[in-house]
Amino acid sequence: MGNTVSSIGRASMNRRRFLFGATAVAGAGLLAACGSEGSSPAGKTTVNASAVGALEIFSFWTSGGDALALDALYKQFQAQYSSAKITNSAIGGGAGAGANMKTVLTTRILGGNPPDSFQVHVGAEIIQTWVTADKMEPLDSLYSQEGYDKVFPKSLIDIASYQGKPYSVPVDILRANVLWFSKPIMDKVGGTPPATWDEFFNLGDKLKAMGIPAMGMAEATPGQTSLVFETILISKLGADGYKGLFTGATKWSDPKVKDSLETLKEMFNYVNSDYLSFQRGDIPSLLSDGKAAMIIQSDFVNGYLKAKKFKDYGFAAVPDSNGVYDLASDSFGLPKGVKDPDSAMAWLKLCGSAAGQNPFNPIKGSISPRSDRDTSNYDEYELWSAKEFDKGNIVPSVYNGSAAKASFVTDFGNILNVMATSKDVASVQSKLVQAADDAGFAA
Amino acid sequence: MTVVAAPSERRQAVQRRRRRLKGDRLASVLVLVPSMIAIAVFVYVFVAWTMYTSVINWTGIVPDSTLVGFKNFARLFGDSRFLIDLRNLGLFSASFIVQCLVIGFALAALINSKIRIEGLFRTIFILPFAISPVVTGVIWHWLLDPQAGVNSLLRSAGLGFLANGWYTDSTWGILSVSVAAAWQMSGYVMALYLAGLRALPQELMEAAVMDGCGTWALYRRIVIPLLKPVTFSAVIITGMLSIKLFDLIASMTGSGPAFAEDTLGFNMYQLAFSSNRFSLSAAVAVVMILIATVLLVPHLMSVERKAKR
Repeated sequence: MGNTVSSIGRASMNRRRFLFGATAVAGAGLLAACGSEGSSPAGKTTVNASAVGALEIFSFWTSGGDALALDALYKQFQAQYSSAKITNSAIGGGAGAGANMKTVLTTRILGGNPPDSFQVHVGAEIIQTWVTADKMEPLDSLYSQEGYDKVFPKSLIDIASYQGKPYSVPVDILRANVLWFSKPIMDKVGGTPPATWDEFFNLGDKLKAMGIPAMGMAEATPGQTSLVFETILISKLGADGYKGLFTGATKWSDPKVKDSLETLKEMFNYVNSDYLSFQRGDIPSLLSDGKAAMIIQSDFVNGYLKAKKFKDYGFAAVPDSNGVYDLASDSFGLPKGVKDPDSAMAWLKLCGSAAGQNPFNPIKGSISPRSDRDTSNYDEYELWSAKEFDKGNIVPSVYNGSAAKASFVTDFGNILNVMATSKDVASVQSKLVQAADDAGFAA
Repeated sequence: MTVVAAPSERRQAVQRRRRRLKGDRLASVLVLVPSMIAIAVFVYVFVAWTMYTSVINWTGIVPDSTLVGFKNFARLFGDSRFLIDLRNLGLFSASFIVQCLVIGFALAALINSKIRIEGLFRTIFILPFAISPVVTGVIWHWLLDPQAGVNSLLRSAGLGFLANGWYTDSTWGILSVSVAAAWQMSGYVMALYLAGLRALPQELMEAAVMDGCGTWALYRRIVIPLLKPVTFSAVIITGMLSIKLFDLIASMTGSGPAFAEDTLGFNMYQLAFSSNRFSLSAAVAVVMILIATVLLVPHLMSVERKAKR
């Protein structure tokens, strides 16, 4: 999820890369405009290898492990189809996850000139934006032909599906409700990672006495507080109660939502004082610099701390999570009217296959969703994450776009950003109810 | 004094002039038509399209052209974020315009006082204006970082009590952005004032000095009143920039804690591109157009008055 953490400051540092990407996209658009209209490959799952040629892929994987992992996929594709000509239309930056890419993607798809496939979070992000707008092909025949139902957990396929049909192929899995902690600080206070919120606050008091913030926060821009709140919601409501928030089965006015907000409010008594100026992308440095005992974030922390050569950290599930796996997953879908249907189908097959996922995931710092994954290159955390994932108690993450439509994700982030400064539980809850109404969850 | 031509010659001359005028006019019309069409299409048609979008119900990727009247506007004015944006616009423009005018005028007055290597100073002061606002945003993001930049300088100079949260302040954060914006634009306002100062009638100044007028009185009674038109233009230009503020925010702070640095432009961008609420976004755009119009009307009226004179 390093990819989803594009802080604005970073975005501007990536400006040259962005300009380069944008130019590439514009150029590709021009070239594509000269080509002929492709036929819709609905229901077609076979790949005519000799017809695999041009392939244009959109993503916001422009730097670090993200870009290297994507490159590994491209290499596999090129090895399988030597005639392929891949256009890597990766666009970084923007205010929010992949904001710049999404802006260009919208223009391309609405202009009837979609790329052959694009990176999208599994679930609501693709379904509520593109599937309901009738811009995507269903992939049920690909799923049955490739036997994805045998290797992907059912709860993952459910998240990827709309009206019983899956619309994208997940290529990686990241867990959002992980509690990362600093081992030296934990040893100093003589504690263990808290299994319940009560334990967390007890530990917090001990740490406070030593002048160490228990929880690292970063709310210079909206995001981190909403992620932490989402994991609290999961712990208080359980998997079904949490999933019900997005179908109307659980009301946002529920007392348990209030309880979650109260817990979050209480947590702000134990956070680093500079959290309003701290950038979300730098949050793992709070652990490595010894400025906080714990943080809640997804797997990108693992990659970040490894790259920093910091080894004294541990991980556990967020308190009271009861084995619920808060899912973030990148996937690829098939837009309607692509120019190179054979290339697109070949790409999707590679994304879903062990041959594509096994080299991709260790570089990306994520795990493969396939139960037959090769774990020989997985580190301790990834092995744990894979084991937890295979238990199949999976819920979609709001923060990572899988649980709710784009407008709600933005509202959710913004409302919790206000919570981080006002700490006004009643007003924040009423805003959440309003946002849920607006998103039409109850409808 | 006048040469009286024969009636027939005069008629011919008039006809010639008319023909020439016709030719000139034709040429000028021909030259202007392409840009007039371009402006009509790319400015006014899109303004009209934005106004239309603001009264429909476009809330997804695909437009929904159901007319909803002023519902989007009603929603905006009930939205706390939008109201904060309006408040931020007020705070930012007041602070930004005053800083630009004061610093711009002071720099212009200094440079105008016949100093050495004037050209060098002029270049240094106007240089920030040539820098992209995105670069300015990144630079000032670090300068005003509470853990670094200005705060470190203050602390090491023993002025730690002056250090503060700058843009992380959830109430007054927008004022730190106005400092960065003023840093960028003061040089430009200086250039406006400098041109104004150089155009002042020297004999008036000399007469005033001869009558025993001191420097302070000279500025207060003569220079500043005479520069009123320049001040007016500077207010209009910086005011317009305040309404449009986007790039500096996007690169320096984002919407900030509790929308402390949110602006109409940034809200509009997020509504359209991260929430897919195109109609609401268009409604924000229409409000921005209206505010800009309110600012422009006095300007246009003064231009009109000048033209009549």
